[in-house]
Amino acid sequence: MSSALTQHRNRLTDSGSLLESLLHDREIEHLPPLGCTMVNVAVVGAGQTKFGTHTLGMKGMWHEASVEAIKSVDHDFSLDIVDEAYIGSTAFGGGQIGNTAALMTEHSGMVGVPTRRVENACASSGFAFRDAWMAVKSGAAKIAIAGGIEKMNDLESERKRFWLGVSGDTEWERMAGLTFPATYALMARKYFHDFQSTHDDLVHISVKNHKHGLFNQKAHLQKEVSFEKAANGKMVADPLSLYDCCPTSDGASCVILAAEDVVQDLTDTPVWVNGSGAGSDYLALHDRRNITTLDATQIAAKQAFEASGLQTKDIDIAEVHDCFTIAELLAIEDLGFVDKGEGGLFARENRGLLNHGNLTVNPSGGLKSKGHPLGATGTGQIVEIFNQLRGDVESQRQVRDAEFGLTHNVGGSGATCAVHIFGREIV
Amino acid sequence: MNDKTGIPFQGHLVDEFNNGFVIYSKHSDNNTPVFGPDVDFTCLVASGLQYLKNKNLSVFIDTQELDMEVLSSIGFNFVSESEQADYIINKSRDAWVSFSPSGELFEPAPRGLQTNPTFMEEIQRAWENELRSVSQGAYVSREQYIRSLDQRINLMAQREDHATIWPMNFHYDQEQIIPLEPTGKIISWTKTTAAGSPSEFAFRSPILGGLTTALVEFEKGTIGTFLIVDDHQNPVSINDEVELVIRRIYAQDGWIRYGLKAIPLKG
Repeated sequence: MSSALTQHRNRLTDSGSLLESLLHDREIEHLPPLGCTMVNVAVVGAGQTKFGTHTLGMKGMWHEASVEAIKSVDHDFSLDIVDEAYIGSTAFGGGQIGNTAALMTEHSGMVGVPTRRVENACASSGFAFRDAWMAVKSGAAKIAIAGGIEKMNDLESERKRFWLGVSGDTEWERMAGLTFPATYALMARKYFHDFQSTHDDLVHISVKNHKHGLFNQKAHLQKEVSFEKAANGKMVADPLSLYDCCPTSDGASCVILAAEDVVQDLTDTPVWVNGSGAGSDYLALHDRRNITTLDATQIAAKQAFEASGLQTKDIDIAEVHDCFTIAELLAIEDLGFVDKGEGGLFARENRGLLNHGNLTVNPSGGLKSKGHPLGATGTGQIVEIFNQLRGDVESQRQVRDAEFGLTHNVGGSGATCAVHIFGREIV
Repeated sequence: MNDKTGIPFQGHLVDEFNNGFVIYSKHSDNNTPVFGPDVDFTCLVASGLQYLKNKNLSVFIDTQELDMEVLSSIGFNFVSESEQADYIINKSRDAWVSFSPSGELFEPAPRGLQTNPTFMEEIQRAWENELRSVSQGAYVSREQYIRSLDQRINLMAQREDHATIWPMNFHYDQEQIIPLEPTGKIISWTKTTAAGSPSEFAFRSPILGGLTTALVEFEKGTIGTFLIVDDHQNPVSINDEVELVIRRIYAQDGWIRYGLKAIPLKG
């Protein structure tokens, strides 16, 4: 066996399970994080549709997002120089499950470009971005497209309900009456029980994200919500109410990645990908090590921070996956911004409010207010960080002097997760 | 005259006689047992078999209206001639089942919770609608369901290193398989409203006022996800002790999926 393979095997299996070795520092520090010896990669263009209920179909939405991404590139750019395309989608509703990506790239004038659908539930386009980043980072591609698409609101309510929850464990969770609100409700109740936290902490998250989303022209729910209203919402899955849950949205998002040696030909204001990380966990909640911690997030965050050389205190903006308010609370802990058990206090003190402290959380409004078109959400988060770091968002929600931003995209109830760290400079 | 009557067992009631017993629904209409929201003859017979305990016994039953895949998975020897049987099981027209070696028919004493007939009619209608429904998304096929029946009904788990794994991984040696005790403790729970329930439960959830699901930790440390029995009547809390019992889960494509649901042991 070659020494390289031996070294790799030791990294994965030395003294404990794979999960343990991924979560903890063990024979890993001396190995370079994935891809860090290769070329630097920047986002040079990004665009998205408004998230919400669209009259446009999938093709129309993808066209709109990709055109906006092309227009955001500072210098001349056309899609005929794209080497690879990665499009995230859960193919919600079953309208176009097979070859979704080919249909999209065809419709944005990229016929002939190698393309594929990336599916990891709600983290589909977070992983599409990671795949595109790997392609460019490794030198296999100079220019790559990563994006996402979902059309959710064409369906009748009953058919929509069939499709919501297809990304949990069908055989053992869904047959026990679980949907995603219910799965996250189990996490929330356990969290309240184990830590000094109450539903009020989640209400603060909901109010904050609606406050941020109010000025986001691309947000699904552009409206403020009072604490009292959010605290007394109609119950969905006890203890989570309507104001703890993101809406189901239509939408598309598209990001253009380029290798360092062509970046200056395309833009004067690149947003550099300083770190990428991804992880996975057991699909069903009952198989997990702990139901108030998302190991997939911890694994992904560890990789991304190691690759970037940055620490949590360096991050100015985090777009985190708040499909439910409890998910934002857990993300703030699992990403390392606060210690375990302090997520409730972070929310209570409104430390994630725009320009209120060192870290602004979900200035876009997050999934709660901006919306959640499953497959489009991950790259939608990257569109927000791209625009924030270039100073291109509405002035009312611009994070001041932001240097570094993070995206956190979760699949299902935490079975998959992708974390990316971006900066105005290469670290 | 029966010896012991009204013995609670797996959410049903049992009256014991000198030479057999009758198991019946705890729900009644004018003192006649009627099925509860998620119980049918298969559930009653399954509980009756578990009341017998000795799985080496041979039993005879008219198999109409029964899911024999589920009942066979419990482990008794079902014979086709009553003369060959240690126990003969007789189903009533009402919600009770008699077990006796001789075939003697035992009737339950009049008792039970008076049900709301309108509620029960709505539930039965919902089951009929559910049976006619088809999947449009997540789907558990009959083959997939049968493949996992030993885990789903008998709680067969897998022992690996120092961990107990349930549901099993499907890559194991026979000697690794152990049954879990059908009791545990709730570590978290939620009650979904009708709008928050999976579509498989869309007909019944509004009538029941939602569904309660709990994460249950077994003595061996492994955790499972289970619906709560008759959830409109059983509010639960973290740390509540529960027993797992066979009930209807949901129907689709013309057949009913059975499995274990949790029933609180308090009170």
